[in-house]
Amino acid sequence: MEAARAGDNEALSELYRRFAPVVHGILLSYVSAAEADDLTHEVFETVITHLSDLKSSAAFPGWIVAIARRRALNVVRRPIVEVAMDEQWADQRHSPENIAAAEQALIALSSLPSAYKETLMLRLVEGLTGPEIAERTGMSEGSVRVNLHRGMSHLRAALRIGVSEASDGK
Amino acid sequence: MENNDYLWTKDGEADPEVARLESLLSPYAFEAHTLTDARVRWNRAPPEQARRPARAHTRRRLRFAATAAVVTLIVVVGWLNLRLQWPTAQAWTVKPVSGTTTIDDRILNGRSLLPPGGVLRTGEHSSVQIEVARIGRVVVGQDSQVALVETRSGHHRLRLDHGELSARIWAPPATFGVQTPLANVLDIGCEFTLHVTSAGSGLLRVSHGWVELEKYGLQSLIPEGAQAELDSKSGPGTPFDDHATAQFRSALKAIDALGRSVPADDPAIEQLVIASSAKDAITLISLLTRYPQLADTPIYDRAIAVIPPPDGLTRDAVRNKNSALMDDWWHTLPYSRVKSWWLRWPDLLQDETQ
Repeated sequence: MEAARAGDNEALSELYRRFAPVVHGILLSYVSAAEADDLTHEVFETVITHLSDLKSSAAFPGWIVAIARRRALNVVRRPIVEVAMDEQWADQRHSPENIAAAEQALIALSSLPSAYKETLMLRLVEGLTGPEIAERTGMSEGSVRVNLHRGMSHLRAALRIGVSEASDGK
Repeated sequence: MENNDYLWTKDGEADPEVARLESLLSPYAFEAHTLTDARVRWNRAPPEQARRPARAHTRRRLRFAATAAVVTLIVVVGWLNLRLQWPTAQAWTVKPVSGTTTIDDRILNGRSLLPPGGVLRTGEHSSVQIEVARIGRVVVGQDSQVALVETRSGHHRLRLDHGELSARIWAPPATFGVQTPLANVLDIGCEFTLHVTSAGSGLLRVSHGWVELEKYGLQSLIPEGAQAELDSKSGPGTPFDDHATAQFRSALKAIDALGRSVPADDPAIEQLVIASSAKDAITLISLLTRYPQLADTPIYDRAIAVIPPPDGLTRDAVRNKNSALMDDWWHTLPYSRVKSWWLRWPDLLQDETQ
């Protein structure tokens, strides 16, 4: 982290490799896939520009998550139904049925409270484990564990009863 | 019932619903394909549908023509689709062109295969041709070392540790990419030559289409007829035209070396402006995009003189990184738009005949 703050290219690359999925997952909780991709790079531009302003390296995970969340919330909010994925970003190996199911899951995820959807995006979309999420977001392992399990329960319910009911507060 | 271990650490027996969601959602994860710059999507406007009234007596002929067109389309789409499919981790074919080449320290005698993880080395005066799945070809020059990092439908990655390669690819944007010690090079439907040293310095030259240079999320789009330097200290450089003068390139290198901290009164700025001409518009606009503080320097004045800015673009807009106006300005550059990759279909026929 110190090397990255000093502008070392290798250290910045490593920082990007480790935290880009986190930033992407947070953004994907609020915006479309295409927007998340674009905004990920904008967030890193902000991070790299202001990295030297960061007083403590330990604060980095919470700092970058806050920047990503703020950037997402600054984007014009769309109705939840428009969170659906742009098919051009979908993996070509997936069938239309899988794409539709994935969209349904993402809509259900987007209907959850912020803490749950962000944590589940990092786990289910970005593939991070609970300890990795804790390490890279600055949250305690306890909080991540709670968010994952409660969030998963909410997600199961949302998928079962339909997104519209879930987003209306059940 | 929850499977706590699996949701928490991915260990233990997988919870079927969690596993299903992982499988469905993993294609949306952050990975190299997301590095495709939004600007790649400039020209993805839907094709215009020409509407012409058909007379009654031509309807049968039109119906026949439409049927024939649909059949042709199905055949062509099937063929193109086959070109884009590739089994995960299937090795690529390598054909020696000259000299001595090794794959994993075994000397090549005739055609051979480069598997994922395999390292190919060429010696002095050697070169080889690699078939990139079914989407194109790479020619590796002498004294080079490349490795196949990953290959599957829609995602093919080489690593160039040092040396030179030329690539000609026919595939959707970002399907093919080359990792170098310093930056990632993403093909956006094009032909390019890349040279790097083991320290990471080098040069990218684009002869057709566009290429994206990426380093920790910061991208440069390099169009046909332009180049960009890779500097082991300052990273991917600002693009410049093939015909830029040595004086202009020298000043640009000095500015890129200072990066975001380049001061407004740096002598390289004046040197660059003096050496600039209309062909250097891409560099001037790129510099103002990368280092917005240059809006307060003669680079801004020179840029608006060589290529008129869109309405509303001012020093303030550049300084405040107004991306919409900067994109509009960028679009006025005299380069072809990012091509729809399928429009390069003649490349396919050329490949088939070789």
